[in-house]
Amino acid sequence: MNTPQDNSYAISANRLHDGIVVYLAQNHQWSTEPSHALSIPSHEHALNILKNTPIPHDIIEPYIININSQNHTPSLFREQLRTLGPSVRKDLGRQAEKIKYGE
Amino acid sequence: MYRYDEFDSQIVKERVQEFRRQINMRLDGQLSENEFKPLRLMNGLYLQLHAYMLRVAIPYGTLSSKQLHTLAFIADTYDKGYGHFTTRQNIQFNWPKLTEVADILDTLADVEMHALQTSGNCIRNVTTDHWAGIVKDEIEDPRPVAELIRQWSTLHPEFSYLPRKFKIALTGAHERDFDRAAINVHDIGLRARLHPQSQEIGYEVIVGGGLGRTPMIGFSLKKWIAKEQLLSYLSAVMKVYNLLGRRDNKYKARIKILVFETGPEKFQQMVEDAYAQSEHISIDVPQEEQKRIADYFAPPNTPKISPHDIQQYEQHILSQRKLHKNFDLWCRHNLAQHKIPGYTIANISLKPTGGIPGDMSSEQMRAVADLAEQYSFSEIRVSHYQNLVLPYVPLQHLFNVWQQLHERDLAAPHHNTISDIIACPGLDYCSLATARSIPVAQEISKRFADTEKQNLIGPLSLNISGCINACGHHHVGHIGILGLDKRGKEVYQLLLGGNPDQNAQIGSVIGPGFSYEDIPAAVETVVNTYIQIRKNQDETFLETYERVGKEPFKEVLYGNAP
Ligand code: HEM
Ligand code: SF4
Repeated sequence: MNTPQDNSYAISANRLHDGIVVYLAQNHQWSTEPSHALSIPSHEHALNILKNTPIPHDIIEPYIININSQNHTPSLFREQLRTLGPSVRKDLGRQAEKIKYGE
Repeated sequence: MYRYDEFDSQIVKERVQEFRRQINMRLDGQLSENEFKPLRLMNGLYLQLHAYMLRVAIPYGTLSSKQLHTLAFIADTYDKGYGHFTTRQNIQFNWPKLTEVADILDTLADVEMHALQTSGNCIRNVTTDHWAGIVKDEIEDPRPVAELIRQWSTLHPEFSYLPRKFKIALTGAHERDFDRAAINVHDIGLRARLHPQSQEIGYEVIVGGGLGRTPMIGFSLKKWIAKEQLLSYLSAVMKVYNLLGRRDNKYKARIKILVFETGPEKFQQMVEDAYAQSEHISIDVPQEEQKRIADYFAPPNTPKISPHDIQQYEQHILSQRKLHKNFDLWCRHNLAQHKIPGYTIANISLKPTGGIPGDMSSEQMRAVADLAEQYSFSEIRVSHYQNLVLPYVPLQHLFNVWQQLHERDLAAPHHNTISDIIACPGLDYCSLATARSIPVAQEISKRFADTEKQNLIGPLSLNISGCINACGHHHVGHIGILGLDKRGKEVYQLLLGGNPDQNAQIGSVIGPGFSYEDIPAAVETVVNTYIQIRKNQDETFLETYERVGKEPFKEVLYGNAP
């Protein structure tokens, strides 16, 4: 569970061409790595970024999620699954790549 | 076997071309996501939790070997080596890339398959009994009528923008027999019926059933209508629905709500009036056309097997059953009586112990496609229980077929038992989910893996959904589980007493929900309680539940606390 101090926000979306989950990172970049996600201190701030950041054409359905500012783990279980892949198929999704590269 | 006519394959091909253009326009920026989204949904392409998902229709649950080979090819070439069979005679691919979807649809179109009407507020793909046309003792094969409805409804301008999605299911089974198509929980359910006097085959029209947020059992709008007039009558139903259907609130836009709010008698009167008025524009279907369509569904040319040979094969099967316990169990649970002597209906399980209900690897698809080619006249059926069927297995090949299924983990001998669990994808895949359903199903199936125990329990269905949309039919499982989210934690409601068949009933919630960790044990408690309190081994779970009600179950689950 996040302590209130750890609570922060990030912006997640999907990639148009393959549907893969991405996060808004530094310098308007979008990354598949949640650890690269830009940690945003307040919801209001996140809303502002969402409104004012030009969303590239390859990015769809962006929305705000809660993360832990220390380790960038999403707070909601749904979002945790979204970063990893199906809990019933550890061989699929980003979790599988992690295993492959021995992280 | 069923084939599209040329007209339809032309339409499907053109639709793929059109969608390819639309995808390209989206990819190069000419279309915005808002403009594109309804177009992709019309072509069966959703955005899910991890990626896109493509839902492919399997009309009437009938597949050829060639089509199943194609699905395997798609799984390997464009996806991650598997597919997921749903409760609506569809298959879903979970990882397609937008850039390759048009190629997938082209590949499908080559074998007369498509993803049309698998999404959106249209008449969705019509579903039927998966044993249609093969099971002993049905009134008639309902698929020709289903096909008539499909031809009438596909891309019909008046039906492409309905207040809400619309689902139709048919069965040809007698009223006294098991309804395997769950017609009472569809927007429209149709059941073949003999006219009480003339004995002519017609259909009963049931309307206003459904699951989801507001589960309801349909009501019988018309006890019997001749096949010739059926489409005219359904047009009248759709007319009233389109006229009255609410578009202001999507949760109230289903026909079940309309029937409920209007009152069944008044609704019935309105349909009758519309039907009477529409006689001059009626779309009655002459017998020749009915016959032309019925010919698509002609059974394969099954060689006649003599009674003497049948007896020999049966003897052989009996002796193999004595030698192989699993084969024996499989014969007991997974076979059904065929209308043609010497053949049997063999149910393939996509629910191995601890497996993901409805998932099938490309390798398994190829194996089943080959088996069907050799031993089932190249035909496969898909059931809404998320299983497959080999519809024409000659008895002399039964043992061999079982061995091959067994080798591929496709012969779990628990058809219609508690391990034959229906589960929607839930939070592992679905973006609407509030909780996971697959791992709950996996854990429960492990706890009931013992076939002795399954036998002791007898027929018992367990259905799981990961949110109130009820894709896993939890309201009509004898035991149902609904996964919810309570302040960030998965919580599971337990429902008892649901029933999808001719005596359809919505299950009722037994009490406060259980945690992810505790729900499997709660199910075990319910089952053990049933075994303790049933009158005898023949009293089914539903009979016991009807006799004793909720209380005994509540007591063991929650103690006597108020
Ligand atoms: C994963 C993507 C899916 C999405 C986004 C989805 C969405 C929905 C929604 C929104 C409803 C509610 C309908 C309503 O309120 O009228 C629904 C109903 C239904 N879904 Fe799904 N579903 C998905 C997957 C599935 C799967 C995998 C199955 C089969 C296992 C399925 C079978 C059904 C059925 C049978 C209903 C009918 C309930 C009724 O009678 O209203 N769906 N779905
Ligand atoms: S019931 Fe809910 S969680 Fe399950 S597939 Fe349907 S929409 Fe998704």
